[in-house]
Amino acid sequence: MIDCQPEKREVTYILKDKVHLKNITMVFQTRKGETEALRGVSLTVYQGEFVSIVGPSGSGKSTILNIIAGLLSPSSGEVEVDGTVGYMFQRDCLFEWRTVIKNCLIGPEIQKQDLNLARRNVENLLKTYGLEDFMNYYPHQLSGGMRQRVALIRTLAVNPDIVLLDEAFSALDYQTRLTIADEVWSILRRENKTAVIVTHDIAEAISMSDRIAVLSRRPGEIKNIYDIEFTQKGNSPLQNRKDERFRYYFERIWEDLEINDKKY
Amino acid sequence: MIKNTEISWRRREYLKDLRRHQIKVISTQLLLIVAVFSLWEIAADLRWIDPFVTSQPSRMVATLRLLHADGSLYVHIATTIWETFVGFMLGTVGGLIIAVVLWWSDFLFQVFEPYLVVLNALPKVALGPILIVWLGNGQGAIIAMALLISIIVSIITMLHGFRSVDEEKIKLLKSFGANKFTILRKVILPASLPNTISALKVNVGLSWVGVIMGEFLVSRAGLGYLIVYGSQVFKLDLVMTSVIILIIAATFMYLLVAYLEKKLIKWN
Ligand SMILES: Nc1ncnc2c1ncn2[C@@H]1O[C@H](COP(=O)(O)OP(=O)(O)O)[C@@H](O)[C@H]1O
Ligand SMILES: [Mg+2]
Repeated sequence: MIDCQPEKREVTYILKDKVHLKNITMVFQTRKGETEALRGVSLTVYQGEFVSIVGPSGSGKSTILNIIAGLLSPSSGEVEVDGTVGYMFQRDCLFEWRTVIKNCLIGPEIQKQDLNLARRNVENLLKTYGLEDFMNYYPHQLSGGMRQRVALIRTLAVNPDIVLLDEAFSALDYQTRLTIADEVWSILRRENKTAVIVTHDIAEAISMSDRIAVLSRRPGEIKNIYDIEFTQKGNSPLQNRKDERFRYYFERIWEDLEINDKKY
Repeated sequence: MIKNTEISWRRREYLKDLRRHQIKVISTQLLLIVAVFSLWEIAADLRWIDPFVTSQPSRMVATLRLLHADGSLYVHIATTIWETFVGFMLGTVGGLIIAVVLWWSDFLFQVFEPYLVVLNALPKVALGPILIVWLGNGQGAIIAMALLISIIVSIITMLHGFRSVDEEKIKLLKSFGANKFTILRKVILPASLPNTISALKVNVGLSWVGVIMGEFLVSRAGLGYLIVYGSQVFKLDLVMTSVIILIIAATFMYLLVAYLEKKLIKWN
């Protein structure tokens, strides 16, 4: 949040790419055989952009995120990531033996950051997002939506430039899912993050993103990329769902996925 | 949920029933013990059973007094507890260290897994005579016995706990840039703490088995020694008294671990 580089403060209007994948191929080797998970995937994500990846399960969506996060290296291809990465999963992965605040501080702890500073930062985030009363609670005392919000703050605590969300809302019930997605979206926008969002929920992808990449069945190839332009700009995901162009995108992507997998 | 700050009469009735039920259970438990001991005492007095082979509560009390008078009671108790404690600690700490090593290195895990399975299946008591030959006729052999009995189960239980920690939690730490040691410290050990403590509970019991077995084989002092000695000279009073003391000591040690569990696991 605090950028201490005053001499570099020239304003550039050129889109800066934060994530650049070029011709990525990923082949997993296991005892049972080889799995080609990704084939020739190229994707660029610019500063401040929210890009979604949709595709049937097993199409390599998580693999792409793991590659961006540096947890996996691709079998071939180029990866450039400019900035630090935070990762959010389907399950909140909160540590049940740590309180909310301690859970949020795990990142700074591991990265050996100044913990007093980090704590103040996290306390502010918790306060901003309505969790200050639950700071010293244990995760099992929170609802699913609150837990996912804590997970987001834990991700933000290390102040990442790029946030990766892997089906981050699909474990929540429908109503919570919509509101939390909306909330997370506005938090990430406000904190000026770049986001790569993986989901199999087409509507969620359309409502949250600037761009959507559709993956084919395994081996995952990018079938199509859509630039999402609503008639009304700058709306929240919930409002976007009511936009007249929403249906159009939905049908296009639905078709893409249907052709490539009858069962979808 | 009823939001009344005042407890409703239904709730009061329910709580009262609950308490009544608990009192019933506990008083029956106490009654049962009193009944068994009284029956034992009376049956022996009336010569339904032969107190020479079955002993008798009043004779046990007399024995206890005697042991207390010459102070040997405390020597024996202390000996056994000390051996159990040392065996338990060595088994637990040793088991923990080995489990961590096997978690760390997948290669070592694969190498040692079949040996662990075989060692686990082996009745460790069979190794008693070997231990005596190697370590001599003393406390060393007894502690080794307790250690041997508990360490294999410790390794297996703890390792199983380590290996079943949620992969995604590990992935999370890796995404923050954690190395293997940090993963061990921040997630593996704390996440498997409940599992480790249940290993401790089992270990307490196993250490007692090891120590008493050891004392049966190499006896100079301790409760196991008293039991064997008592049976050899046909003093069943001594045997029964020692068994009762053993029960009390083992219960006490178990409660200590259970207390530790409550202290350490606050998040549930
Ligand atoms: N570490 C791994 N080892 C072997 N195969 C893997 C591994 N990770 C993923 N895969 C395989 O790669 C394919 C894509 O997986 P994933 O990226 O998780 O798909 P998605 O997230 O789209 O459901 C799947 O077939 C999966 O079984
Ligand atoms: Mg996935």
